[in-house]
Amino acid sequence: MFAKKTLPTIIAFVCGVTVVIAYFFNIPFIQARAQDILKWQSVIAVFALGLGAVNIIRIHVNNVQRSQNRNLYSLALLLTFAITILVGVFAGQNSDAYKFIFDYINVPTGSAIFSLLAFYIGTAAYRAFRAKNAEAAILLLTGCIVMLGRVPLGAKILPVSVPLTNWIMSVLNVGGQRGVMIAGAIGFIAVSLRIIVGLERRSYGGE
Amino acid sequence: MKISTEIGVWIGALSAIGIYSVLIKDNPFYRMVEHIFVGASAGIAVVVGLNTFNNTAWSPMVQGKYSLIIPMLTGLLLYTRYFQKFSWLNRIPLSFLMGTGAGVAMRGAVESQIVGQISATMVNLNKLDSWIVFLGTGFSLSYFFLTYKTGKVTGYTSRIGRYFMMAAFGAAFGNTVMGRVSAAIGRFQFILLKWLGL
Amino acid sequence: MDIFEKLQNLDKRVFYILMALAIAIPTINPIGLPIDITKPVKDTFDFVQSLPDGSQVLIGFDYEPGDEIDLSPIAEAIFHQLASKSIKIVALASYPAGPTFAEECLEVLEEYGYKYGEDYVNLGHYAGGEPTLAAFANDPLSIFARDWRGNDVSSLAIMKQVSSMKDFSMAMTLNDGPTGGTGTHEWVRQAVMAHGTPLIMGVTGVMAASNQTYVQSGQCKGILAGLRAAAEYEKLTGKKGTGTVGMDAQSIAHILIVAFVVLGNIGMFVVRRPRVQPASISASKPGSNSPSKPGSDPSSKPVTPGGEGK
Repeated sequence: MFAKKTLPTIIAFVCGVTVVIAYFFNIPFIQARAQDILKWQSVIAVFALGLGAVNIIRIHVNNVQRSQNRNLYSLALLLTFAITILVGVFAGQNSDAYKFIFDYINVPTGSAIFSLLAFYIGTAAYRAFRAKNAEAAILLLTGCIVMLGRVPLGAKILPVSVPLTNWIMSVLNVGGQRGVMIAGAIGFIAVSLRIIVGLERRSYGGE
Repeated sequence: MKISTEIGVWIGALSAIGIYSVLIKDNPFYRMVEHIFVGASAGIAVVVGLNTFNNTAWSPMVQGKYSLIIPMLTGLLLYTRYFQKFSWLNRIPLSFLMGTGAGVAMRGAVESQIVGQISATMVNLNKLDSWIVFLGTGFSLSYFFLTYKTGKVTGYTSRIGRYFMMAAFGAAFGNTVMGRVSAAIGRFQFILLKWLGL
Repeated sequence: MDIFEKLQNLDKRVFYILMALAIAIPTINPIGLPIDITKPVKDTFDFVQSLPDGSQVLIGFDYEPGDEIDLSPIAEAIFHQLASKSIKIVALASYPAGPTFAEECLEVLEEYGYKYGEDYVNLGHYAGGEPTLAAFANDPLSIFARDWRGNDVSSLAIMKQVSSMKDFSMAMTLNDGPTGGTGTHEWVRQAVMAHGTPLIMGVTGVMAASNQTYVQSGQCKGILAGLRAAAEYEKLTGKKGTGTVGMDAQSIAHILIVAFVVLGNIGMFVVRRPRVQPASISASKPGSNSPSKPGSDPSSKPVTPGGEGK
C-alpha cells in the first residue's frame, strides 16, 4: 500500500516543493538538490520517449498477426519504422540515408498533413463562418481584416487593413488574450498545486 | 518544364500527393502514405531518443557520474505498464515527472502569466489604447468568474469580455489561416517547382 | 435566389480545387508583389541589431516537420543577421525533428566562415520539456555531455564561454506549440523570468495572437510570425529566401478565403430573407391567435445554440 499509493505522492511532493523553494529562496543546498532533481527528470523523460514507439509497435504487430500478414498498411509502417531505426543507429543521424528519410518522407508528408487544414478552412469559411450574432460578427470581421492585412495583395485592395491589423493584434487581441491567459494560469497553478500535494493522484496513475 | 530525376524528390512529391488525395476521397494510397509517415516519425523519435539517452545519461555516467543509474532505473520502470502484475511501479517515475513539472511550471507562471501580465496592463494609462487593453483584460477576466452567480453588472462585463475574446480569436483565426496556407505553399513549391520543374 | 441556394450546397471539392489553383498559379507565375515591413518585424530586427557584436545567443528549434515552412525560413533569416554581427550561436531542440532542422538551417553560417564548435554548435535534442530547459538554464553542461555530432561539449570553445542562461545576450525559440516539446510560455518562464535573458520568438501563425501579450508586456522583445515575417526579415537582411517566394500565393489564398466568407454570408442573408415574411412575424407574436403549422414557418424552428439573440 505504501509503495503503491503513498510513495508516489511523497515523490511528487518532495520534487515539486524542492524546485519551488529553490526558485524563490537563495539556499545553496536546496538549489543544488533542485538541480539534481531537474537533471534526473531529464533522464527519466528520455525513457518516456520510447513509450509511444512501443505502443505503435504493439498495435501494428497485433494487426499484422490478426490479418495473417495481409494488413499491408501495418506491415509498411513496421518496415519503415525498422529501416529508420537501423539507418539512424548504424549510419548515424547525420548520414545521407537518415537525411533522405527525414527530408523526403518525414518532412513532405508531415507538412502535407498539416496543410490539409488550409483546404478545410477554405470550405469552413464558406459554410460555417457566418455572422449569426454579435460575437460571430466580431470574430468574422477581425479574422477577415487580419487575413487581408497580413498579405501584400490585401494591403493593396484595402490599405487600411494593415494599420487595422496591427491595432487589432496589439490592442484588441491583447485585451482578450490576456484575460484568457491570466484565467488559464490561475487554473494551471491550482492543478499544479493539487498534483504536488497529492490531491491529483490520477495524473500519475493513482486512484 | 523539367521533371526532377532525383528519387528523393519523387518520393517526397508522391507522398504529398498521396496525402492530398484524401481531399477527394479516403483511399488506399493515402492510407499507405500515412502509415509510412507514422513509421518514419516513430523511428526518428527512437533514433533521436537513443542519441539523447547517450548524450544526457549514458556518457556522463560512463565518465563517472554513477548517481545517474538511479534515474535510469527509475525511467525503466515506465515500461512496467506493459506487465499487469508490476504496472503500479510506473507510478514512481510518473510521480517524479509530474511533481517536478508541476513545480517548475507553477513557480514561473505566477510571475510571467499573472504578475507580469497584470502589471503590464496598468502602464501608460494616459493612452486610449492602453485603456482598451486594461478594460479588455478586466472584462474578459470577469467572464471567467465561475464561483458565483452572474449578476446584472457582471453579466454586462462578461458579455463585453466575450466580445474582446471574440476579437482575439478572430485575430488568431486570421493568423491560423496564414500558417496553414504557408504549409500548403511549401508543399506546392516542392511539387510544382522542385519535382515538376515548372 | 436559386443560385445562392445552390451555392450554399456546393460540393466541398470545388473549394478544394479553387484553393489549390489559388496557391498553384502564383507559385508557377509569381506576381512579385512588394512586401512592406511591419512594426513587429522591424522592432525585432532592431532589437537583434542592438545585441553586442561577438556575444552568444541561444536558439531553440521547437517545431515539427509540419511547421518547417513557417519556421526554418525565420531561422535562416535571423542567422544571416547574427552572422553579420559575428554573434555566436548555440542551438538546441525539444522536438526529435529539431536537431536535423537546426543542422540544415545552420548551414547558412558557412558562407560567413563560421567554424563549428567555435562560432556555433548544435547541441541536439533534450527530453523533458520545461524542467530540462530549467536545468540547462542553470548549468548547460549538466544536460548535454555530447552534442548532436557526438563531440564532447565541455571541450568546445563556444561552450567554455557559457555557464548559465545569463551568459546569452538573447534567447530565441522557433516554436510551434508545447505538445511534446517546450512551448513559448515555458521559454518566457525559464529564460526571461528566471534569468533575465531577453527573449524573441519565431512562431507559427497560429500562435502569433496568443503570444502578442508577451510582446506588449515587454517580456518578449520581438515576435516573428510565420512565412510573412520571414519574407519581411529577408527583405531587411537583403537575403532573399523561401519566405519572399511564397508571399504571392499567400496573398491570393487569403483573398480567396475572405471571398468565401463574404459570399457565404451574402448567401446566408439572401436565402434567409424571404423566410421572414410579415405574416410569419405576426404569427409568432406573443398572444397572436393566427394558426401556424409547426415546421412550415421557419421562425418556429428551435434556435440553434449560438444562433440569433444568444
